[in-house]
Amino acid sequence: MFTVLFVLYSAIAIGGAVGVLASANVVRMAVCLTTCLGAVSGLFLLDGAAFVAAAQLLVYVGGTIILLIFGVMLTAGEPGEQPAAEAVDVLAAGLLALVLGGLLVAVVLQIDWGYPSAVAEPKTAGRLGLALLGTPPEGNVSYLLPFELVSVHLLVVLVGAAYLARATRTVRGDLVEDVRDDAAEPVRHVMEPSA
Amino acid sequence: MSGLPLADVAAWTAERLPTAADWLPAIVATALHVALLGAFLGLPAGVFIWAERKVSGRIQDRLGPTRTGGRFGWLQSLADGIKLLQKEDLRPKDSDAVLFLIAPYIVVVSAFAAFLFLPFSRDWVALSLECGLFFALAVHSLEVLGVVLAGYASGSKWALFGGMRQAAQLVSYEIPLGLCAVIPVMAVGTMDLNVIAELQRGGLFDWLVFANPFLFVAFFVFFVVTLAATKRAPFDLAEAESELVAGFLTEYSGMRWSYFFLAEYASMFFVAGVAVMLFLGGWWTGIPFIDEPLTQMAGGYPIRVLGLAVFILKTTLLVVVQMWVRWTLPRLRIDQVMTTGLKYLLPISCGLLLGAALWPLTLAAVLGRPTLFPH
Repeated sequence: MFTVLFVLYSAIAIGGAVGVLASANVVRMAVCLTTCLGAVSGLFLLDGAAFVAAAQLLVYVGGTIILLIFGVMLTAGEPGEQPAAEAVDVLAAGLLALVLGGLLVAVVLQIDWGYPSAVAEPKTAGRLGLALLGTPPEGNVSYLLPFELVSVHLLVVLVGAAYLARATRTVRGDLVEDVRDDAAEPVRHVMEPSA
Repeated sequence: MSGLPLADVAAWTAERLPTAADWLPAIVATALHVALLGAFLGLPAGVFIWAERKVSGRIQDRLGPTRTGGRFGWLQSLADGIKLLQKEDLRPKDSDAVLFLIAPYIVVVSAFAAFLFLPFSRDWVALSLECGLFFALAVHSLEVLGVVLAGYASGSKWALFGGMRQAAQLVSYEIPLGLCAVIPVMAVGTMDLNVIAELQRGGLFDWLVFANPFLFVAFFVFFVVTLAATKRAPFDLAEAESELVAGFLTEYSGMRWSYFFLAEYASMFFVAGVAVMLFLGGWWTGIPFIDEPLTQMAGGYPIRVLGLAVFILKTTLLVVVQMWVRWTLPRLRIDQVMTTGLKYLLPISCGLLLGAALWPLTLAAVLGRPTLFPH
């Protein structure tokens, strides 16, 4: 049963990954990526790593992919529009793909694929938390400070991006000015006098 | 060992290929679980759509359905279902065919899969996991993916607006939802919904909603946030029929359209069920002299049957409150939705989280015990 499901989920994951490469539409690519990541989450669940599976679903499938689709929907042009690839891009991408593929094959061949005799222990969430805090018996090194630093860093990046992207709006009398740093002339809208 | 161990893989696979003895119990168990959960997906939808019409009718000083199936119109949902089945399955020319067709299934499947992790009574849960709550909320949040895709794939500006609004709304309400769910988890120290409910055994005041003032407020914040998460009024901006025709549903018809509603009513039941598990004592009646003897009796079977009834009753009451809110409050504007989520609910839930973390420590320092009343 385990093997059948394992093969099934793996096939879905590989199919999703191939779909990302094969489709021309950006939103369809994102959906294929969702399929792939969701199937990987299923594999985690199958191996008894429920916490990792849930985190994968919440963070990658639920969060990142929705933001990705959201972003794509805001920016993408006509459905089916394909970004033009130039010869030099194809060459660079091909080289990179070859290098990455070679690296992955080399790593796969070096690993000792000992198969787990039993499914991993189900109660992992509490132990993960203790290990993150560095509380014995799960570990002596606390990862709390690096974790917090990274999250504050991400927050600063987000706030900075929002600040840079937004147009400063000033209201002066009946004039609303959208001032962008890169705009030569402020865009003026005359507000309709309210009834 | 180096090189791909193909022989090992083959041997390992052959060893684990399922035999009939493996297949049969697994398939029977799966089919049973799926059938039971499928009933919980379909029945609330049917009953609650009828109830919603009756409730909305009464609130608006009307009768609601009265004829189909006798005096109270209780067969109205079934009649609607049969009507929807016969409708033509339309697809706009400008739509993205594949995505348009799969979007309703994404919504229904994620609403259904969330039920896997919800205990319906003591130990009656399809998939008991240590991080069940986390998993359930993660799966449930995938529903929005279908809504956003439906909005995009319809090839209509109304649908696109609806999808975009839903995505924006979800992104801002997901955080308070998670934080409010963490507050009871912090109080009991586990994410296993079964254990969380089990620990609320005893009287009414053992329910987590009364455990401390922060949990009490957190329950109401959680309820408001789940309204937004299930895109119910006053947060139904994705649909907003007065401005967006029908939002992400504009181009859908027939069965595919009704899948979205099936999912909506199932997820109303789901979020209400999670709220009951987290705050309102799960399947316990809150009356110790009923619960305790039944727990001892006949291997704990009676308490499970009673628990199922109690759980469904509590959840249904919460769903009725959701309907009451829907038909009482006007829809918010999109900027008001964002303001409510990001400027009010998010800081409130952060404050509650901090307060709930400090509460037992403060009590331990002042009173010498982590609870207000001695047990």
